[in-house]
Amino acid sequence: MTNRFWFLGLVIYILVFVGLWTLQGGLLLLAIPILTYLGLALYFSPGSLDLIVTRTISTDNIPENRPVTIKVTVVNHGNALEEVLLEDLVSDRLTLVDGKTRKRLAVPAGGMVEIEYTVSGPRGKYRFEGIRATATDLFGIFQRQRFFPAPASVLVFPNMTQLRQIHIRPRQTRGFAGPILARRGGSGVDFYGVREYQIGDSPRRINWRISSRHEQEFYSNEFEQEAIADVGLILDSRKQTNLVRDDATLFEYSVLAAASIADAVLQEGHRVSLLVYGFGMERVYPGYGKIQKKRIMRSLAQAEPGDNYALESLVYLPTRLFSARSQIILVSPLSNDDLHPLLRLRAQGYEVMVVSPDPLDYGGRLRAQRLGIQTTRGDQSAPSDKSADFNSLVLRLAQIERALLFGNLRRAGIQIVEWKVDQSLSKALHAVIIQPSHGRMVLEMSQ
Amino acid sequence: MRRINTIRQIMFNSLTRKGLLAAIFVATVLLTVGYVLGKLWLEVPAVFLVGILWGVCVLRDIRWVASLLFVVMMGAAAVGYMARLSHLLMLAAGCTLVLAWDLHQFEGRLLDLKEQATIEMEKNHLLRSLMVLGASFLVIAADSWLQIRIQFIALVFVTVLVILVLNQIILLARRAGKPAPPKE
Repeated sequence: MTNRFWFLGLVIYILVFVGLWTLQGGLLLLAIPILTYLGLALYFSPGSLDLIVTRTISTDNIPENRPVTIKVTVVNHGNALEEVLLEDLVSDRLTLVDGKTRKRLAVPAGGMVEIEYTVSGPRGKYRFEGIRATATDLFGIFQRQRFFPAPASVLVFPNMTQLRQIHIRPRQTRGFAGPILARRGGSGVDFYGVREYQIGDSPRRINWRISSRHEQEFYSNEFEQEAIADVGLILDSRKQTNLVRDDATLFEYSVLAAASIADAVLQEGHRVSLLVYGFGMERVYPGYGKIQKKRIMRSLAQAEPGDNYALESLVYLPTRLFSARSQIILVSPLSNDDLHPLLRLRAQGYEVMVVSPDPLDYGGRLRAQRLGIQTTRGDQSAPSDKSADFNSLVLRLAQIERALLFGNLRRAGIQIVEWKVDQSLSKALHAVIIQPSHGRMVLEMSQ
Repeated sequence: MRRINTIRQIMFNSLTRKGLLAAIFVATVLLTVGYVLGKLWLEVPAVFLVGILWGVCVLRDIRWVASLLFVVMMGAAAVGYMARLSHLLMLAAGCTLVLAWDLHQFEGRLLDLKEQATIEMEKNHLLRSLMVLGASFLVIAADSWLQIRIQFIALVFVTVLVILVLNQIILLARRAGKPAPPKE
């Protein structure tokens, strides 16, 4: 029963009460139309709901803010429904692009209804649980509600930026041919050394200048083998390091960086694994190619910043998950406590690169944005000059602290990519890493 | 813009909107005429203005006033009845008011969804409302032709009966509202 029923009931009771009080039979008669109305509503009140609901989704994974079309088919296997409101329960984070998620209509027995709409949304996993059907009589007095499950989910992959080749140089490479100089002789392009001629060596490889100095032996040129590498990508999803606000979070930029790097590194043919370290430890095992890219994107789509007392520090980073002496790329805004765990990684023989979205710059811009809004609104709670001075001093100290941390990391041979998130990631990456033709990587010190 | 277009569509094309405005107009006219015939000159403009106000609220898509204005106009009909105005007019106004209130509620449900109801659904609803109106008019006619006179005790008895019937209806409706046990 809806509120309308109680309202009309109250009107009837008042009419009856006043009619009795004033001994006016006509007032009782006035109640008759309302009683007739309620009687008809009761007579035609909806029976049990027997619907079969099926859901079709145009694709179960889409890039961020790309539309996905959802079609829900409802077949009525019960009695005819004079008026039924069908509502598909959609996440608030999704934006309706086209169509409607709710429909009010009459469905005859055996009839079929389709609800079709298009939504788009930010990165994440969205579950569609089912349809809520509310059947009422035509007067909307009596209603019957039931939930019909029609589960499905859509993964919205994070956005990516196209990166040029990322030059990495781990100490250990894998056996398959790839783009990295493997520090061992074999087939390649770059000159590696000279060794004694072995049967099977091409005569073109014989180094005649050296061979002419010896009477009996020939010497062959050896080239540096080029191979693929193991790349371990770590996404720091700790809430303490990622600035998490209600409306914006630095974590989204970390995810963007991780996705872009994974894409670029996989395109080069390397074997890539992913570890999302924060609330828990989500792992994608090493793999190659497009399927691995999809696995990584799937994991990144579901990554959320979180707190976990046990994983507050990178000390507990499970290094055994990564191949010995491989390349590790950590995407993290970093905190001061992360210095020693990173030094430990370096000491264990890993080549470490840190891509660090700048939380100070991001926080400053967020604050400026908010102050701008407050000033526009003429808000009295805008900070005074004194507190602005204090804030700029705090910011300066934090910047110094961060520069010191990065200095220490660089001294340990860790590559640091400082990324101010309003700038292009590609530019930030390639401003720091330059690979000269002779193989050894040079880090351009930006500060 | 889209919503405005939808509202305009409903306003000018919908059967419900036309029926609603007609019902308000008829109820207002019946009440006003009843009061004019009874020479209650002070109340005439008040009743007329309330009717006009309801019409304006419908056109301006103000829905929350529907129940309030329904109670006010029903009260006016009751007062008119007690003031011994034309019983027929007052009862007819009461019936039309129920129709107007129902149509206003129905239109509100449609506007909530920002979509036009199917013509079939509107027609069915209007037909059902007219059934109520017809049944109520029958009772009114019976009242005016048969001139039933009952004693106070009988009236109390009828009232108790009505209350009991209402209670039964509520119990029935509650029972009907409970979810059916799962099929095995």
